[in-house]
Amino acid sequence: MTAQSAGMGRAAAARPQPRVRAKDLLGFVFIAPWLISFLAFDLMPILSGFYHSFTNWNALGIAEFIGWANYEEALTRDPLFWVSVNRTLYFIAGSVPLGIFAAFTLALLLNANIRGTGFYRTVYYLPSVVPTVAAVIVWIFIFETRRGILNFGLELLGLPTIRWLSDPNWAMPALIIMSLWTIGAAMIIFLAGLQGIPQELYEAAEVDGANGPQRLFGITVPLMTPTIFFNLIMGLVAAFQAFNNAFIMTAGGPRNATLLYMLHLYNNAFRYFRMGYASALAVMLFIVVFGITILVYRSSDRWVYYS
Amino acid sequence: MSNRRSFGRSTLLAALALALLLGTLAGCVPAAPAPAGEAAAPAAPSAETIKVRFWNHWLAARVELIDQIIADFEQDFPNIDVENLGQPWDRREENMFAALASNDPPEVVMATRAELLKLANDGLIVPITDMVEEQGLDLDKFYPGEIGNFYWEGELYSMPMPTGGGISGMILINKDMFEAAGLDPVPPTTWQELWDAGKALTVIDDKGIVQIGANVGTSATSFFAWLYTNNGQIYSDDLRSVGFNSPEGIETLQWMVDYTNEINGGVQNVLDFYVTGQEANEAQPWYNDIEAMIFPNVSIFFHMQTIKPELQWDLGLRPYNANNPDAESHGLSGEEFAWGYVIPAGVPEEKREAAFEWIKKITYEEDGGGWFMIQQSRPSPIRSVNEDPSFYEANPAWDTVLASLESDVSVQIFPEHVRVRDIVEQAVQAAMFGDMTPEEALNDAAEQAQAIMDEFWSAQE
Repeated sequence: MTAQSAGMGRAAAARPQPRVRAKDLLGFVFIAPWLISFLAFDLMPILSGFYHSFTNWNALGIAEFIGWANYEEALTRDPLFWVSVNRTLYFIAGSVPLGIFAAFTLALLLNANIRGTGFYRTVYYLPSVVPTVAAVIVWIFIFETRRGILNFGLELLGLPTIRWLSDPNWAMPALIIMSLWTIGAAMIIFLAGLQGIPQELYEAAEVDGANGPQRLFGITVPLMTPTIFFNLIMGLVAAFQAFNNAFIMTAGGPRNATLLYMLHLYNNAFRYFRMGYASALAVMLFIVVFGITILVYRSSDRWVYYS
Repeated sequence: MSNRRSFGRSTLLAALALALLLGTLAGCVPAAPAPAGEAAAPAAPSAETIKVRFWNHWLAARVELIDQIIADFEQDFPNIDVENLGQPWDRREENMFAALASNDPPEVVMATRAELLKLANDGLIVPITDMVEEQGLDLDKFYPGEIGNFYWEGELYSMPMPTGGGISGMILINKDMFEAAGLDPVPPTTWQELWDAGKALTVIDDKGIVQIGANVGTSATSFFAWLYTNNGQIYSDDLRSVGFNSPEGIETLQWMVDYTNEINGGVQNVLDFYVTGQEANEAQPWYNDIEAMIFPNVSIFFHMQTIKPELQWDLGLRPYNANNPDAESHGLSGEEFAWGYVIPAGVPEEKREAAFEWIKKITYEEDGGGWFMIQQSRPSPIRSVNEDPSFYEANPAWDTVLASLESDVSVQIFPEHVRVRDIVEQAVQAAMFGDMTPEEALNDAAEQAQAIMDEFWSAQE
């Protein structure tokens, strides 16, 4: 140790130790309600779920530690596990891109200077706040084979009608179409993003002779990629956890065509009282969602522009 | 100076924030009982009053009836305050589970027999055997098949209300539709008669079913019901092996598939026809004269009274397979539903007696659960109640209802039965959609179900 550094060390020792400032305390006090809620109602259940995934547990009695048996059962013996994984991936592959495309398109339309924009924005957002059960009942009537409005439209176009909810090949597309019902939230976020794009960029492009599609793909889409990225992550997480529509409208049928992963998890947790096994399913879902989120996040370097 | 001023402001803010936090936390704490003599005191229960929260699914027109029983009960037991916690059907299992898992579960919870067995086996509800014996209750007043549904390992966990039977043993016909089709308005008694009637009454166009003769069902519940009318059974008598893939079982499923394909034009036609569900409401085919025969449970009489009292109907026993000399008409008791009322293990000792008194009122007492059944024109699990003359006045086919109850087979099930039912559901669907033959589907299901049974019994040992 040099004399200089020794001197500095003494000086530091002579100074009063930094203490928690009143300002810091104030911050902690303000976030305490959230923090307490997070610890009690989020972190604790998450940790509990991890632990119980290694147990045979009915959620009310004593948990019996059984090691990896729940995971082994899911991956090798549960005939509905892979069925539900398959159906969920199908749902995600259909609903997420379609949802982003539809929300973005709507946002572009509603960003135009036309009369009554506020009214249309409200109308398109409204379904997002309609209770799920009510929405599902409406959609059941829309999908009805004999009197449904979708089949009525197909007939007008001279196309054959579809058994949306009774044909195993069409039940999942029906669920995917129905997922468009709740694109209002994503649309609002896109709209906010669109309004943040500087107008002078479009003016400069116009001066350079850019036409509409060129402005869209040269300015709008690149500058909207952070918003697309955000909506993609949110859409993926929501799609992995999709449950309500399938639970109420099809109960997983027909012939397991809409047996989403969360529905399978729900059955094990609340119908069979197999909370340990359901916890293992939840942990696997968490790992997959987390992994895919990381992958998408890493890929964002290549396609998301922040400036 | 400026430092002191800044600190003072921060301190003030911290104090405000702390007050806010304490206020928030205080909101999470249960309110203390209001001291006697304060304004709220008259509405608050007295110190000796025991609260019994009754978690149940008796909704719609039945809420008022339950409330009347509560009022009557509270006159007899002024120290017990029963709160009617009617619960929606949606996510029933999840909500019940959450209620049971809480530190403060409802004192009395309505549960199906399958759930009750599971909860009993896991020690999550308390037996009422001792309380029944202490009060010297005569359990012989119930039909044996009804009270028998609520025992597990020799202990009684509930008494029945409504009947566990009477849910699958009947066939109801729309007489006007029969006559319009040129048929005698008489309920079919065999599978073969049902087939012929169904064929005559079903109308199909290019979009599917316009009018249905009968839906023999596309689910495990229907399969089990038909299985017993072909002299089959779900499990062996000792509950150690599955029996639904017997020759009778395969014949039953084959008949259901054939009927659905040949008479109703396939399972998709049937699913489309009932796309808005089969619950009791005026939108359903039965109430719109486009469904000629149904296999109802006894609650139908109440619903017909309230939804379409002018409907012309007649009642018979569920048709059986006349080609099988050992087959007879049967309904099932206790396979699905068979509602009971249980006391969660989390209910404190001092409240259990009050909870039991309420269970007794809504199950055992003629002026409680018995009266509740009479008001709905549906049979009671108590024999004597069913002799009430008002039943015969309200229901011209009351003798058939009672005959159906007598024909019910009390099905032995084990605590994992719900899982087995779902496996059989998969098998029935596979056969209905033509992905497997009935024999392949049932054998596959039997293998899975047997594994669950074996695992269960080995864990018990």
